Amino acid sequence: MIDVLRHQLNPEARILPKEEVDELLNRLKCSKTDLPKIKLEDPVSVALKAKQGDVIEFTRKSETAGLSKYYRVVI
Amino acid sequence: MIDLPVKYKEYAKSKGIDENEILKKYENSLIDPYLPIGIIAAQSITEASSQATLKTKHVVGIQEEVKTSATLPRLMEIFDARERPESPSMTIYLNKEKIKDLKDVEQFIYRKLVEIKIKDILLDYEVDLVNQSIKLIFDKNSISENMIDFNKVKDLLKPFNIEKDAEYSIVIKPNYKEFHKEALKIINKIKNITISGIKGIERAVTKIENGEFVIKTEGSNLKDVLELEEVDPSRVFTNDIIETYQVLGIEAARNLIVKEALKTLAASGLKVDIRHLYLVADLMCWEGNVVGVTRYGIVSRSPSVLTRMAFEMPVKNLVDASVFHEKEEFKYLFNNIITNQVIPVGTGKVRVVVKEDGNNGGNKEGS
Repeated sequence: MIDVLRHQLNPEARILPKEEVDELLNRLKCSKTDLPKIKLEDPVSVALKAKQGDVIEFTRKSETAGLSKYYRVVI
Repeated sequence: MIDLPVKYKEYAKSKGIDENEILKKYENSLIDPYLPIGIIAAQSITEASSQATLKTKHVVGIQEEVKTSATLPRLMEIFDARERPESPSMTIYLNKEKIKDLKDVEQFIYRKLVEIKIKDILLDYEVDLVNQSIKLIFDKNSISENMIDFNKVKDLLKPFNIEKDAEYSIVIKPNYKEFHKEALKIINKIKNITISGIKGIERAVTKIENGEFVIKTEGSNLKDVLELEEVDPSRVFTNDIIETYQVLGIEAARNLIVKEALKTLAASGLKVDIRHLYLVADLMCWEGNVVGVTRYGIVSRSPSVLTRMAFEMPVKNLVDASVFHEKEEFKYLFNNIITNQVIPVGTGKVRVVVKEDGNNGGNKEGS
C-alpha cells in the first residue's frame, strides 16, 4: 500500500472539525457547495477516511505566498 | 481581514521590521476589486507561448538523453488534460538505505525497473506446420546482457506446452485446432510476455544530481514503481497528469500541472508569472477531477450561451441553447462584448448609488 500523503506533490491535508467548518463558511460568506470539490474516491480522501460532506484543509506551499490554505469539500 | 503569509512574517522577524508595515504593503500589492484576472492570465500565457512556435530549438549532443516533446504541443497536452502524453517519462529518486553505489543502481534498473519482453531476447523462430510446433531461438548475448535467468523464461512458456528445451532454444507445441491460422497470433502473444521489470517502462538513464542517483525513464507507470522498495516513495514523479490524478489525487495533479507548464515554458526560455499558472491549474481542478481547457471541459461548464458560442462551434451551441430554452444573463465578458455593452469588470462593474432620502453621501456598490 502506498502512502499517498507522504508524496512530495501532495500538500499537507487534514479533515476540518465541525466548529472550524462553520467558522470558515462564516468568514468566507459562502455555503459548502461553493467550495472546490474533491471526490470521495480520491486517494487523498480515502487515506484520510473522509466522509461525504467533510471539508478537507490543504496547506499548500505557494511560491508567492509562502504557505496558503485551500479547502475542498468531499463529494 | 488578510493574514500576512508566513514567509513575510519570518522576513519581518529576521529584519526587525514592524509586521503591520509589511501588511500594509502586502495589501496594496494584492489585486484590485473586479480585476479580470482570467483574461490577464490567458493573455500572459498565450503571449509567451506564441513565441514558442517561432523558436525551433536545436540541441547538439546527448545532453537530454530521454526525449521530451516540443514546447507548444506539450503545453497543449497539459492544458487540454490529455489522457497520455506523447512522450511519457518518469523521474525516480532512490531509497538511500537500499541503494548505495552505481552497481546497485544498475542491478535495480535491469532486474526490476526496465520492462524486458520475450521479443527483446528472441533471435528467431521457426514454425513447423507438419508437427504443429514452433521453435524459438534465443539470443545468448542479450540474455546475459540483461541479466535474465533462463529458467524464468521456461516457466513463462509453460502454458504453451513445452515439448523440448535445449540450451537457448525451446520447442513448444500449443494445442490449437487450426494451428496454421493461429501460429502467428501465438508468436505475437509470446513476444509480448513480460519477463521482468515494470510494464510500460522502456528505457532508463541514470544521472547524478546533488550527490544522489536519479533515474529518468521513457514510459511511465507510477503505481507500480511506487510499490518498489528501492525507490523513495515521496519522490517519484511522472509527467502524466491524469495518471498522477488517479494515483495521488487531485491536489497532486494540480501541483503537477503548474510544475510541468512552468518547466515546459522555461525550457524554451519563456517567463510566465507562476500566479497565472496557479489560476489555470486551480480552475482545471475545481470539480475534483482534471478538466481540460477545451470545449468539452471548462468552457462547456459556462452557464452563458454566448460565451460558449464565442469559443467554438457557434451554430451547434446556439441551436442547442434554443432547443433547451436556455437563458442568457449577460454576466460575463464575451456576451457583453458581442452585444456591445459595458463589460462587467473594473470600472464597468462599479456603480454609484444615490440614496433618495436626501443624504448626499453616495456609496459604492457592486451591481
